[in-house]
Amino acid sequence: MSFNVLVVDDSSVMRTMVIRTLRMSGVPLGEVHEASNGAEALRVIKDRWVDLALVDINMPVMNGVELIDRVRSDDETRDLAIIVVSTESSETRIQEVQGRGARFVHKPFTPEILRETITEVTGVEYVWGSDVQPAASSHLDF
Amino acid sequence: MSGDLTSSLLRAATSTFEELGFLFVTETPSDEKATAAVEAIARVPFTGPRDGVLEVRLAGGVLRSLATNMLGAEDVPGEGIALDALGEIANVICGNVVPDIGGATAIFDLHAPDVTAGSGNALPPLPEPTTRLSLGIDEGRADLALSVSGGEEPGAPS
Repeated sequence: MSFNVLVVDDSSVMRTMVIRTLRMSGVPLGEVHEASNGAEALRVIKDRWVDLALVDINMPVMNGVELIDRVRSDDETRDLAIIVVSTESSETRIQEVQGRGARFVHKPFTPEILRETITEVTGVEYVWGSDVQPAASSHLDF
Repeated sequence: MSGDLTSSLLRAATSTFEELGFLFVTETPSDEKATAAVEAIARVPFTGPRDGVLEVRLAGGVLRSLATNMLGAEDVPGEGIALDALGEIANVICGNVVPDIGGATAIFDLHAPDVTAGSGNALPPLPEPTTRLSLGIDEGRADLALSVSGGEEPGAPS
């Protein structure tokens, strides 16, 4: 069992960095998709099965907050697990994100922080090198 | 110069180079590192309750190491990608410092990094830095300068 992940960031370097850190975290990954803004991300979410989206805030075309609003307003995608990965440090803006049902990971981040946050947001616990173990409150259907 | 802001810049730069760049940081560059030629410069302007700019200069081969480590690449990344990596590092450092300028709830907008290869002789001069520091980074060096304009002294007790 593994997560299909979508990484949304306008920087290709940062997308690569996030994916690299995901792999280092030991989270079992299935398909890994990339998008450079919220509009591209919405197309991927409609066309592919995505379990988890890692989203930057500041992006051209459609920013991360707009993306979350669009995802949450669609019955087919509203329960998607979303983690915002950003340099944003304002508590005001972080609370805006959390109020939309997304978790927040601040850059810079370690593989351990990413793994813990994924466990929290998906409700799925796993152990390095083993299959994922759905927790009692799992939000995912495998 | 605000000691608090210098400490904030040191913390932000150290954690960013170590956690995103997988590079070893020392607070004082060796004499050899201190004289290495600058290879690239990134500037991140920001606006908010206070305006300013953060500048990060890399020297002594750090640029390539940074890009290679961040991307996990087997081949050495091209210069364009390496400069993008520096821009991201500067952006993250700046994002971690601005709360210590305007407070935890203040909203700052960080502008896109302006990244230049070489020693930056053609760049316009920065405003007088509010604080600056040099770090040893692996075999090279990073010089950081933070300029903040207007308002009270950043980090001053309120």
